Amino acid sequence: MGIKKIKTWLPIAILIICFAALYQHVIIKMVQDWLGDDNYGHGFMIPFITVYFIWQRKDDFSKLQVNPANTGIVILFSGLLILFVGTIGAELFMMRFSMLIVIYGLIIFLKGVEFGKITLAPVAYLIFMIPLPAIIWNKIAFPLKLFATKMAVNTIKLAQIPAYREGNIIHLSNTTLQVVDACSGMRSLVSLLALSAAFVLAAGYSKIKKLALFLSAVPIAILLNIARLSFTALLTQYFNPQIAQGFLHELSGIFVFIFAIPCLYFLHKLICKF
Amino acid sequence: MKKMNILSSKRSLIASGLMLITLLVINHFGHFKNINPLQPLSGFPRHIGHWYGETGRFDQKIYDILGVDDFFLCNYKSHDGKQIQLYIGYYNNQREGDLIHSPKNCMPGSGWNIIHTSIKELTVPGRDSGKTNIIKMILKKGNQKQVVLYWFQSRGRIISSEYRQKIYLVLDAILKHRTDGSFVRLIAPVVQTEAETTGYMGDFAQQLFPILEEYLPEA
Repeated sequence: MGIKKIKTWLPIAILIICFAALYQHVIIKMVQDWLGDDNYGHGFMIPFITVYFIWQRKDDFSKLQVNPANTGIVILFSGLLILFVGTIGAELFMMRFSMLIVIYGLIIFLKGVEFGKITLAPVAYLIFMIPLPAIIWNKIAFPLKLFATKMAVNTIKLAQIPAYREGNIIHLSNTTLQVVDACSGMRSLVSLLALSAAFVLAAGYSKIKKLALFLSAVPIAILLNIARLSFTALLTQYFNPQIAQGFLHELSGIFVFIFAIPCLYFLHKLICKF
Repeated sequence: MKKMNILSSKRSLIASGLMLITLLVINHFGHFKNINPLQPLSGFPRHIGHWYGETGRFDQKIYDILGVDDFFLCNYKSHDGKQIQLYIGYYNNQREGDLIHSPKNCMPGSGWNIIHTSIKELTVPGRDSGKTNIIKMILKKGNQKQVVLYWFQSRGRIISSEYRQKIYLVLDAILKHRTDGSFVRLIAPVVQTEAETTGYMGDFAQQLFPILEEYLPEA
């Protein structure tokens, strides 16, 4: 019996070792980014969520026949090609993205199309662990920042507080607030999308409803960020000009989440009703 | 019995083999020729047309991030008080961490917001079509404004798109085993109008091209 066990597990061990050797460099660099980049702290959670979703469906897997498909090798090969091109061009995003394709190709090549169907969403979910290329990040974050500043100033004016906006700077009577990159809302947008995607994967309703819930993270993140900016400005005006810096700034990012989770849950309930 | 074949061993060995081969291929192609600039950039002229310059240095931290192999930084002044800063960053071979950085990445980080980006056409004598596109960026910080002109000059090409320069980088790496490249950037504060500033920067850039050819390797 022992030999049979070895025969089963040895190829799996070799497979894992080869994958680790191939991606060792990519994975280490990505973990460093999670540690060092405040925008991607949530990266650590993503693989666990993926594993959880796959584990959750283990009953479905046991019903399936292992039926390896050769299309898998095509997918695997294209993943490896993307890794090659990405490495030669030193393009981190491509190198990292290829991991998803390679994993998916392996699943289909070794286990079959049926397994591929069930694991598509959890594997695709891994995209949230990959930091966006800075050039794309900035392209979205900058307009988002200006928009958030504009809307925050409008809100402050509604509260009868004189405010004047210049680019991303809010002038109040006793101080000026600069809406820096970290306040663009991009950070909460990315992590909220990851959160709503997890919500959607867990929810059991139609594709359109899933898409609706997933995308609802966008307005939620933007609105909450505007609320956060306005609130900070109000506190600055009425209490302490120092309040915008430091402690509250860090904390208000967490507030976005404290509000976002019930928002998503409420929407989920609402969608269930239809 | 059902639990026996979790995976087909033959298939997992094929997949393992493919991944291993990829690793070897990547290691094989991952070595590129070190191509030095034709002359050290430190010898770049301080006197260009009616512009006289004083060389400068960024903070050492910046060079560590940029990972350049050679560079030239110089603040040029014209007799009537106009200013242009020239920066040339040269890479013997580009790899992860030692890559040409687009100002689109670093400028917003230093507080300068990019408010406009466009392509500017320059006449470049000696080049086949006589015309070259470069990138023009308008930056703003408070009520200060700057015009930035930049391009990538790599392996004989003048490239005005970050994406295209990436594509050429991959192609040249595979076909020529070369990833050397350089980045040329001009920055000037807007004193009167944006158009005026862009105008004399363009003139400056045109005078720069023939000099650059003496320093930057061709295809």
